[in-house]
Amino acid sequence: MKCLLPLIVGVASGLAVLIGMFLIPQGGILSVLLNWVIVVAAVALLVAIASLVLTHLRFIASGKKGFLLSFVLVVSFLATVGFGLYLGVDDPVFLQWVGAVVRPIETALLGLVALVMMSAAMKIFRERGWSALTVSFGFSAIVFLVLGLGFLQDLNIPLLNDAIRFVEGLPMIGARGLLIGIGIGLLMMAFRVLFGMEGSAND
Amino acid sequence: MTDDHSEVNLCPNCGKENLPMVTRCVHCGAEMESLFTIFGQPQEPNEETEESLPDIIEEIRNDPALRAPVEPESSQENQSDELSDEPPIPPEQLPDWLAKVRERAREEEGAVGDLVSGINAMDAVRDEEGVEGEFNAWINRIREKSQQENRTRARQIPDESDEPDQVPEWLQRIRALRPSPEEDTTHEVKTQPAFSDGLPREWTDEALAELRRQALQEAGEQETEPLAGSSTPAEELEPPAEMTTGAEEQAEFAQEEPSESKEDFHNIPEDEADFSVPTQNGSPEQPAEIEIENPSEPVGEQNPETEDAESIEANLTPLEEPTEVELDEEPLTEETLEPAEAESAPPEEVEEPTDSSAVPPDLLLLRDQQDRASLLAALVEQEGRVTADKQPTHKPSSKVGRLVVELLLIIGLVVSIVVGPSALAEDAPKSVPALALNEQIVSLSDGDKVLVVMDYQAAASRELEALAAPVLERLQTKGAALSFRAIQPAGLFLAQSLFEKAAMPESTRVEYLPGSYLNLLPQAVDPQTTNSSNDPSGVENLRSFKMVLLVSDSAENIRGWLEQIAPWVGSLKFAAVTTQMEAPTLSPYFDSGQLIGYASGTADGTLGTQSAFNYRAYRVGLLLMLVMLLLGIISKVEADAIRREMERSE
Repeated sequence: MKCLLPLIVGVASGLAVLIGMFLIPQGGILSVLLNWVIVVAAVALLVAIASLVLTHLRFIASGKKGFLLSFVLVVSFLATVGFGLYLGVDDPVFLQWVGAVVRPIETALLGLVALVMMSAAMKIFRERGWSALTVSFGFSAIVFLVLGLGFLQDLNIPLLNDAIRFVEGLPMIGARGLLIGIGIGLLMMAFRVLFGMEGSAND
Repeated sequence: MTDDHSEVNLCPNCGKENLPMVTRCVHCGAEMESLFTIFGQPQEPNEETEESLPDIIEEIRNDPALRAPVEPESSQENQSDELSDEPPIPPEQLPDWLAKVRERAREEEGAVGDLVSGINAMDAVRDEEGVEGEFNAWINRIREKSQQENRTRARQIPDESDEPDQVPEWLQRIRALRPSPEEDTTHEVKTQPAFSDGLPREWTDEALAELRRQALQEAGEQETEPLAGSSTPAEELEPPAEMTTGAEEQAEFAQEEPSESKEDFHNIPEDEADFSVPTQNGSPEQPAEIEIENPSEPVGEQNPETEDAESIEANLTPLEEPTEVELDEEPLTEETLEPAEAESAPPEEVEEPTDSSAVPPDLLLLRDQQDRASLLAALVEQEGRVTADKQPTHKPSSKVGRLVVELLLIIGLVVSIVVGPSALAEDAPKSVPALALNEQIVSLSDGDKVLVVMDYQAAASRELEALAAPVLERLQTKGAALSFRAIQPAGLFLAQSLFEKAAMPESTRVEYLPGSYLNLLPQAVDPQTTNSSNDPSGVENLRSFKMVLLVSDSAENIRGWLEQIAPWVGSLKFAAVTTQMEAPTLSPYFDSGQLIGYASGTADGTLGTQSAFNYRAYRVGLLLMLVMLLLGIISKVEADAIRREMERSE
């Protein structure tokens, strides 16, 4: 029964969505189901936030190493919730303050990601050696970095521009293959859920 | 096991072993069919000879005419073996078959047979790859180097003849050990003194002949009266009046240096060959050093059999030579003196010759050789012993290089940012999707509703705002009615920055759209649900919009809009503003017409009049990435080259 209930729910939800979309789209079944999905997702987000706060409160209470960071997180969360409830989520001052904190942090993190990727690109040849993957990566990275600099485009040579346009269109080939693979994977996943073959439903 | 050589065939080309059933050599690919034998069937004998094949091969191999010339630096054992071999048979006494075989072997290259040629090829390969050849080459190099050093040193040492009145040290020592005249049984060679001290510096033929006769007489007396030989100790020997300085030093070394045991190690084949010079006894194996070393013992302890100083000179010449034969210097210095010198001279006394100008360089050469041979012997003895663990090689710290790279990055970015933003030129080439998007915007008329969906995080806000702001500005210029929806909660405060850059009116508001496109899916599927009062999206009628502009940093979300919403609403046009990283994923949708256009990258950011994009910093960043990538490739190539060099050296 413990394994059967998620299986039944999963199969029923999939079938209901298919029926609502293709068989009786005017019945409102799809709208109800999707609203349920949105509500459940929002509640799941709240549960995740509550779990995060409780975990860090536990770290602070136990004095675990790095509990100061947990303290900063909890204080920031409480301050945001408090000011949001007090000023309202549409208040320009509130949004400006939140943006002033979040934007530099996330931008810095993205910059760090760029540095890490740069370092990884530098080390990949030493770590992985010469292989088809590394050589193709290095070659394509050099080509597109040079094209991204724009120096060749500034030359404004028609033949060169055509070649550049052709090279820049090459990623579309990979993207198509990637999208086809994603579509087939999603289809197989949907079938597995509908037929009760998905492992996560049996957990 | 597989080491049974009787079951393998030797390749006639490379001489390596192959299985008997192979038709081609697995090493070089040469044909081996001629080596095939059918088991159980005897080989047909040769018509011209009744000898068996191994005997013929043995004869061919032993034939000196077909044998490679013997190297002069062969070992003592080889020499003794060759001496013991029988002399070659004269050609007239050879059997006919053997003569024919030899003649054919000379004329035809493959006449010796595949098996023999294979053996010869294998021997040649082993000789080429053998240790003996390398060892001999190493010894030759050492010898040549030592000869050069000794010649140079001999030239630098001042000549003793410059001080004729000064008695050499070696002569003083000999005189100090000179016995009383009544005990001296030797005959002094009468020569005319050529120097002030009465001692000539060079040998003459007469003096050498006289000295040889004396030595032979003394030897004959000792053989008849061995116990009475004590009356002629080495120290009692009057030094020859015309002894050369080299020979005098030889005697000096023989007197001063302690005798070495017979078990002394000799690992230089050439020296051992020198030791095998035939002596008076006629035994080639007896080294000459034995009789040379013994006179150096003290007088009271000398053995009559070994203390004969005359034997020094007697050993200098082989017995085969007649007594009256003119004595050349070569056997004195190279064949007989060298081993004695090499074995008896301690390094500290060797380093200070009193008359170095007359010291033959070969003597010093052999001392140097002995040192090297001793070192080699020590190395051989240490082989296999437990030594200290190999010290771990400490890689050079890469902190400096890493710091340089980091500083390069920081300086480049800071300088590019401080200098100020540099916008792209207005005529910079745009991408095709961006041009298509521009055309769609131009085609909009006043009052057309455009739904702007903001679906990006703060990290991508700089890039997307630089792209989206000109587009929004252009839409506003065209008079389009813009409706903003935020998919992400962060979109609520990110929209403010975007509105400022796009110069949107302050009354512009953005609504949160929970569930993203899933929220609008019922509207897309069922048009009748569009006017629902409790619709949380705030979008009353999706079909009333002319265009949906997706400002997103996720191609997956854009793909959801295109795949879930677009098929149900055919009249709705979808455009996108996305990051350059996600743009390739959207290119198939643009190619299929599901997207009417999209803007991405730096060049597409100049669609409008604004230039909020720091193009210089962007270029510097790309350039640094390119440099880092090339550095990684170069470092890998260098590491490979170093590794290959180390492998070659090992």
